[in-house]
Amino acid sequence: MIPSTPLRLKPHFAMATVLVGLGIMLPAIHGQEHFEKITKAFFQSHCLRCHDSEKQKGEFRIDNLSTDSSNPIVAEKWAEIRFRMNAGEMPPPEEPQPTARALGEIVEVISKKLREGAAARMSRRGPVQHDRLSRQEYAHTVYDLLGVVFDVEAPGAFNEDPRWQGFDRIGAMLSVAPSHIERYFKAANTVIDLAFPDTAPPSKLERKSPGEGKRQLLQLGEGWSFDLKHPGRYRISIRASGLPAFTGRIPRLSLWHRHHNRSFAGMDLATAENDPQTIELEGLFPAGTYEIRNHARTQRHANGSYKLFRNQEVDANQPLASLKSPHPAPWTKVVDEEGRPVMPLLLVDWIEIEGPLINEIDQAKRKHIFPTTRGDSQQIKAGLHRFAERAWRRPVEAWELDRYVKLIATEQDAGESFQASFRSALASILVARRFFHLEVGSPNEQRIELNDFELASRLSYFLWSSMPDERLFEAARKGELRSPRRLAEEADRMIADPKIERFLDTFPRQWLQLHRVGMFQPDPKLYPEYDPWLEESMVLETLAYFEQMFREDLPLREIVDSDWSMINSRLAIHYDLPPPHPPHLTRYELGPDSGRGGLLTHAAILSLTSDGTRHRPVHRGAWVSEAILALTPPPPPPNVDPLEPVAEDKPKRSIRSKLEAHATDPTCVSCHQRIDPLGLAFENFDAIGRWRETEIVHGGRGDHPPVDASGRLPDGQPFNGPSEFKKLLARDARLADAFLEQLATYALRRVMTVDDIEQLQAISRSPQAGGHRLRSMVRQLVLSDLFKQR
Amino acid sequence: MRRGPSRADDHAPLHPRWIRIALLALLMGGHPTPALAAPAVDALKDHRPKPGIFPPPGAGILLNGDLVVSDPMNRRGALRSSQHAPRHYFAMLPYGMVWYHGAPADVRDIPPGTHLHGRFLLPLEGEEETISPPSKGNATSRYNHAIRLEDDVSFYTRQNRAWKVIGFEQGGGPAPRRKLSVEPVGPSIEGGLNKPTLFDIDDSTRIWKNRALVDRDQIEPGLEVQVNLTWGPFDSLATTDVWLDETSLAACQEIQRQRHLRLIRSRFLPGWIDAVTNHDTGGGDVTVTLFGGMDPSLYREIRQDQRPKICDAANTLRTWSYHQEYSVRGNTLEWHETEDPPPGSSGIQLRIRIPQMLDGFRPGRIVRLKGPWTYVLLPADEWLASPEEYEQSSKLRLP
Repeated sequence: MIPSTPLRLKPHFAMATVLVGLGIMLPAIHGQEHFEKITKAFFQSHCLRCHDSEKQKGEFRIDNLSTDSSNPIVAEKWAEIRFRMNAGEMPPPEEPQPTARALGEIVEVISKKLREGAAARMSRRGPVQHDRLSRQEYAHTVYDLLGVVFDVEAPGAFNEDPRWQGFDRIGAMLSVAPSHIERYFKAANTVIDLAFPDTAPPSKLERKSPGEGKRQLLQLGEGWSFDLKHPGRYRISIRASGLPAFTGRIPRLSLWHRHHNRSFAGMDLATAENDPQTIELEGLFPAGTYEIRNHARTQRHANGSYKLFRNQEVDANQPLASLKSPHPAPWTKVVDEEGRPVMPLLLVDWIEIEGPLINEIDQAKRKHIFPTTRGDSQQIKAGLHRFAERAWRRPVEAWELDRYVKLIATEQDAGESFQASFRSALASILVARRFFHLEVGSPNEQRIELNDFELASRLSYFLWSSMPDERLFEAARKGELRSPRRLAEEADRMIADPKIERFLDTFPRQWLQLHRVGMFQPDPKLYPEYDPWLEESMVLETLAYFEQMFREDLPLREIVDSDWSMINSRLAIHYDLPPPHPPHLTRYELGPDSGRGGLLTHAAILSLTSDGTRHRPVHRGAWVSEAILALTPPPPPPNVDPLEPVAEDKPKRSIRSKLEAHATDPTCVSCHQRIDPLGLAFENFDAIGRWRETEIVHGGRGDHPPVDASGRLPDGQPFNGPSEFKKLLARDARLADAFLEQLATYALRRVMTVDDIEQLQAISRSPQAGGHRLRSMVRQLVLSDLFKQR
Repeated sequence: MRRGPSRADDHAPLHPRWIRIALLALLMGGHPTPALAAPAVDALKDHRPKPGIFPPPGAGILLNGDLVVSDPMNRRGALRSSQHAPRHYFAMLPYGMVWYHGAPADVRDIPPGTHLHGRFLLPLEGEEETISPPSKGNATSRYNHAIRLEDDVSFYTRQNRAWKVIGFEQGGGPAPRRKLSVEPVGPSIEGGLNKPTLFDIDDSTRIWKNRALVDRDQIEPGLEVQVNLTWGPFDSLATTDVWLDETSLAACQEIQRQRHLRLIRSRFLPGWIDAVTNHDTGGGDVTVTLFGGMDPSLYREIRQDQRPKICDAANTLRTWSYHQEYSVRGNTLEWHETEDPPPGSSGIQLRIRIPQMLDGFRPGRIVRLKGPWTYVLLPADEWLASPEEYEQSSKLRLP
């Protein structure tokens, strides 16, 4: 329905299927000669006028296209031609249209040609594939391996991983440079030292309080800091009152990490001034300086000298209303003329930090590795073996450990203690490529199917972003994992495990490219309401929405169209909705006039394509195409003139009208016709996702232009506004195919190609896919043949 | 310059007319008659200034005298109106205006001893304790908040008055002095000298012509001159300056104007808050009326800046600590100008959106606005550093 120019392909066989279903007999197709005869004749009649050597419309030329379908690049081009024809995009309406029979015939011969080349294309892959773990997967893996919290984002740890369309786990993208090895070495030593220290840091209970009889007043953006010297599991208790502003805006208490520059935990807090609440947070925390922060505005306001002059302790018995100075004072305003808070406020009584906590589950991960008897070679080998099998996620032969045993001896000869030498051996196991790579394939064998251990890792890195647990290893050892029943059991068990949170956080972040939210900070002069808590809330909404859909196994169409969302009090202000009860992120039924519903109207999605000053309809369209339809539009040609601002003496013009005047070149038009409607449908939302009826245009004269969110899809279907557009999109059969392609890209750690299409469609159309319900589709992908293959 | 002939010896007692009437009434053995104290006049005279409201024209009383006490930091001082009169202590109202050499000024610009004309009102509501009542008070002492102070040259030129030189005379008596004989030229002025007058003149008098000091022989009969005055023996008035032409006066005026610009650009333009709209994220909109009596270029600069900084100030106009740092920058949303504003007001009202409100941004409170001006660190004794210091500064401290 909404085609574009894909690099990633999404061909449809619908038309061919229909033709065959109608009993139209296609001629027998045999040989290269027949292929060339059919395609050349068709191209001559319908295609070459635009795609020959001269015109090359859309930068696509087919008059000299090779027919060697064993070449992956050639195959991709043929797959694209098939896709265009199936989608009804080509030939375009103004060109002579082929008969259904001719169209069916050419689709069929191209499909056959692509199938013929598939085996040859697969054989071009190397025998062993090494996919490096992303840094996030590394962190999860060392925690599940040893119960160690390793901060991969700490200074000097790991760099951010490169992304491909949001995914940071694509094998082809994650290269290993010499600098990586150095960092892996450092990381391994740190991890092993934390797991097996000579002296473990003692668990302590510390309390931080303001002065006697005082409470710490935190205005918006203010924090009260404390340090965690060691990473690990902590229990943090905070006693505080949260005072809503005079408008009802509720304070957000956030546990903020200064280096990571993000919140690790938090809650909306609305209490009476004299009725504080004790909040308890327990979890894994990296070392560093934290702040109990009244979370909202945390950065210097680019608009001016944003400062907080009043950072103070107040008397515990002093009513806040008294903080109205009777005379001029160099402080920020806390209460209004009636003594009510002018902003959400926190009054903190104390913070208690307990940790690092000794956790039995984490301790158990380290058992039976370190020899209890110094120098006992049996224990050394057993310990290394147990550790290496879990670290490398596969059976380990005794000879593979010889070098590590020798290393212990060498280190001791050099004067190191036994403990230090053994730790060096363990660290060396973590520096081995087998640890930080997922290895798939065998050196002397050209196989497509994964073995049991490879399958166990694929499953665990898909759902848990980490190594398999003991039960999964056990199933692999017994050779049971390839049985559909056992695989389904394991998948269900893993989905029910708390570690599924990692999938529910990581996959939507990567699929929807949520890392782009806030990448270009909205200009405070234009969007003074934008603040970090709003930005965080935006992302939380989308993640919670996905989680809700997953846990309730909701139909995929609700990705784009629904009558609910996950709203907190901050988002309710942003969306101009009545506040939710309770105020924290909760399922919220949207009214028919809310203009919201579905991911596409989430502020996170609407803002991630903005540039900090204005919304960008073309970028929005490209995002919808890429993320929702799995169609990657081609990049814009070089040297495209930017849109000029409206001159002061000219009437105000909308971005839309400027775009329409801008894209006059026929080559540009062909792409923009497909991309722009997908973005223009959301013209009712500004750069930070607020609803609007008129577009605020800076510069120019006259009234601000009214929003026009109407459009027409490439197949001709008209829509007027985001609601109608979403309904059209929700009915599109390609929604499920595209989602599955994204899911498979994440799971298989590679870009889907023309060779995966048939399998993806088979999964999507299988009755077990559960009517395209979200969790069912995840499960079905796990059970598919594709999941078990390289 | 306006000038006029004649001579008079009524320059010594400078009591306002109403005091003379009151004294006459007392001498007659009774209270002022109803006819002499009409309710409307009394209401205007006894107008009680309120924060956020400018007084009506003509409110309060006129007094004149030499500046004998000056507390420039707090914009306070005292006038001595005659040889034996008690000091008249005063504080400038926040919007009180000072003029010197015909240009906007501050209390700090006026040398002690300068003879000044002022309009004084009852204390601003809430400021009743600022000036302690003198032990020997008189009827005028309670009018101790000035809305306007000006030297003679400012006072008379503003009202289109000059002095015409008659000639020189040699005085007699126990302290014989040379006298400059002049007569007023121009309209009769309330609170001013409206008859021919003798001013002391000697070698300390600066005589200005063009852009230079000249000898006394340049003062010729028939010239229209302007003068500034100070104390003279036996309640006479002595000349400190005589301007013989417009060029010389304009030069001095410009020097004072530049001094004023330098002061305000470093201390910021004062005004008060008419209204406040708090946002619920700590920011808000404040509507400010700028005080009058400033050079027009300062208002223009604030307007052109569009993004003034704003800080909290006391009624003395003193600011807190590093006032540049204890300021927040806003965006000017609206700018309105009204014709014929009340005394003290510039007639300019602007609405500013501020990302971070300060505690003092409340209706009726004083603020100062910074335009596109160079960063200046104020002398530490000038700023308010603590609430205690504020308390100390809130009352006149006698020298």
